[in-house]
Amino acid sequence: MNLRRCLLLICVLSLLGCEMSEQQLFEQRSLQLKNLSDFGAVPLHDAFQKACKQFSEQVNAFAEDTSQDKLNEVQQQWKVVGQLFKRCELYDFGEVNSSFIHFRIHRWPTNERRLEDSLQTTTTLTAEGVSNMGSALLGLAALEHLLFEKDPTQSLLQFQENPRRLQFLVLSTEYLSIKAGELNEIWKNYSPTFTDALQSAISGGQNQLTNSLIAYLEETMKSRLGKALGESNGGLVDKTELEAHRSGASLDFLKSGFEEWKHCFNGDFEGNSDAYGFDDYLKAMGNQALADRIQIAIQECDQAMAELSVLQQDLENDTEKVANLKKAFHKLSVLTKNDLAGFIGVTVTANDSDGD
Amino acid sequence: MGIEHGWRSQFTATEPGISLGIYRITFGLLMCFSLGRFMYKGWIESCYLETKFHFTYQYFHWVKPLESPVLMYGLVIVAMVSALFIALGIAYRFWIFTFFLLFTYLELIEKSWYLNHYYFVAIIAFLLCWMPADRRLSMSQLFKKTIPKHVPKLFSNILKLQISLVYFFAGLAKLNGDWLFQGMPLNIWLKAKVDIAWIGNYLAYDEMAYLFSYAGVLYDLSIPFLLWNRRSRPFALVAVVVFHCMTALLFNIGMFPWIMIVGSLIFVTDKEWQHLFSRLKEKASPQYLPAPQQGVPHWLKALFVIHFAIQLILPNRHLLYSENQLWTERHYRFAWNVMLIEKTGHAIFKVKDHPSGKTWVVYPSTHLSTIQEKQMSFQADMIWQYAQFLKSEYQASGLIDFSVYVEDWVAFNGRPSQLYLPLDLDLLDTSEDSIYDFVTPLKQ
Repeated sequence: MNLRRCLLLICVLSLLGCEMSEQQLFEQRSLQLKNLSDFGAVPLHDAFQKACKQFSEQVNAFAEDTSQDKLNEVQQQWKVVGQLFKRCELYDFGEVNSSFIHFRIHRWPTNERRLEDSLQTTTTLTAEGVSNMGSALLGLAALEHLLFEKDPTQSLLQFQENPRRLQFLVLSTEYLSIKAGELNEIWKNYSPTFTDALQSAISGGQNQLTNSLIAYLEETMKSRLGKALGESNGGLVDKTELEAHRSGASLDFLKSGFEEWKHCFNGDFEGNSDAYGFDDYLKAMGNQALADRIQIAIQECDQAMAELSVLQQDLENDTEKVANLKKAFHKLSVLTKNDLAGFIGVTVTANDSDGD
Repeated sequence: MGIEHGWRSQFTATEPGISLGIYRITFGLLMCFSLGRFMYKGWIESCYLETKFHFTYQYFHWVKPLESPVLMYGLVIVAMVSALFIALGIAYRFWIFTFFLLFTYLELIEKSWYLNHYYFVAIIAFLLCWMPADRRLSMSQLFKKTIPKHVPKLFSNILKLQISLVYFFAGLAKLNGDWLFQGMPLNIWLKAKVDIAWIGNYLAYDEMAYLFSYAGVLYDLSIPFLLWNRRSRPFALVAVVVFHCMTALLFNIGMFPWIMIVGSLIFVTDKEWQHLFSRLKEKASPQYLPAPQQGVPHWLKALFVIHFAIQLILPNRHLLYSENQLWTERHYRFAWNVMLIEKTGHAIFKVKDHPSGKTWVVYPSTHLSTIQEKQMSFQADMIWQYAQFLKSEYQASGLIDFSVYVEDWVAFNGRPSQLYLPLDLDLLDTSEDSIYDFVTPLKQ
């Protein structure tokens, strides 16, 4: 009888012990997602919406007074909005991704020829008409095309001489503001689903976040830097392949996106002292070494970025520096896609096939 | 009834064929469902239609998908119908041959979708082609007034042997350092599953990975013997169900558990089925009268011998090499290496034109689907094959004298990523076989 009681006690204690330990790992997953949503995604999308609204107001003011000063303000605000959106791009997963709203806000590159053609037609421009246009003619990239002429002295002149261009600017900025509001709403509604998605399946929050981190790095290597470095044309550098090259904001866009990437990894969002991120999760899983290796790779990306001043010029005058940045991103990409995803058991795929 | 005792009787005796019939029905129904699921999940598009390039198997590079989506869908539907008719036992021989040919064709199209259980299904279908599995429990028998002949016991034994080999070699393959001493890759996979209700609580522990690892080895190596043995069979059948339900719950392995559970039914003898039927129907069990024995033709026996000789050779080919097979994956397929590795890779290719010195960087996602890219990034023969594809692409664009290089980083069973192939290796100077010789040694 005593032996039975002892065995029972051991069983109960071990069950309790197991539960506590597991809860830690499980709770940490939850901590990470809540931190990301509450202190990262939600305030960021809020800020983006506000910035877009301000942008729209400034464009309206510019339409009233087409002066260089007003244009400068609008151009400056476009950069602010653009940089904020570069940060939002890290959160394009789950319901946000399936809504395709990111495409409506920013699709780069814009179709310059078709955009110019549509500005030459005589059909009346309406808010509804603009909202029905293809995403390659709308959003941040199209607005950059309108606001930043290749010859900067021509930007103001184009608006002064072409009222239709100005009207399109007003309407497409309003459209952007509406979409920013919708995006904010989607994230707010999706946030509880995301933070509750503690499962390890593809739909799991951690899984989606990891895939987003990987996608950002791969896209940076391939499109944001690789194309400009001439990877697809035999090595001829081409600054027009840089995102936001007309506004000269390419490097700022890169920096903004990467800043958010780091926040997503480290969890060190503004206003949260807990700062629970992947680095802590890896530590909890017993792989501090991997967290350290990733931190070193992040620092290398920062250092390579700090070497650059104006990406367009660096690309032509000091290509090696840009190539080094790409190399640093590649290293971080390998660590994220192989080591991090492999270690925490994330499925790096959008296709849920079987395996044995 | 040809009752003989001892080892020889397993090959010379006959039996009514109930076990074979039940196996035929369950196999057919499962395959019908499996192909329907394949279609439902949109895998016809992602496996056969979405990409221009396909990774084909050595010696089968001539196998290509049909370009028309209608025809590809049509083929899968015909395979499904075949499986259904196999289960029903109507024109069995015709449909099992049709199923075998279609299923094998579908599997040979795309190597990146290789799964051990697809290979297993193809083998079973091939073996069933030569067996009179429709003698009992089939629609065709309903219309015949004569008493069906018994079938040689050899046939059910052939299937049992095949299943036993799968388990046995899967067990042997688990006897490696990572599995036994690191609890890998289960350590990674189980920790990712802490969200599972009830048992999820315990999966975060390293000890659980070891427990599952050793239980897996023990199960694989012992279950064939336990299933063959009359006394242990009931317990073994329960173990089969529990084990495979567990794997279905924990891992994303599709039809594999169900195929193996169904497979274990072949071990239940006709006598046991008759006994079970009689208990269920209270003495209303089917009566199988003694019937003339039927021998197995010598050519068929020879075919089976050749088949099993191949089945013994394929999982052992890697013994010819001193390398870590789990890392190089030389002769890894068709060898029952089931769930042994957690690998992720990151590959970027470079094409260098020698006369001009120009270099192009190629991201595999430009040409490959997600699964193709994922599988290729850590399998040397597929890397070689993709390089051949790039060769033809760049030749078509006018290049003559050029090389193809790869920068491929691979992480394996929790180890840090390491370069998989030398950076200066011109992939065009290697062959599908020799590429494995260049895989960099695994850093422990």
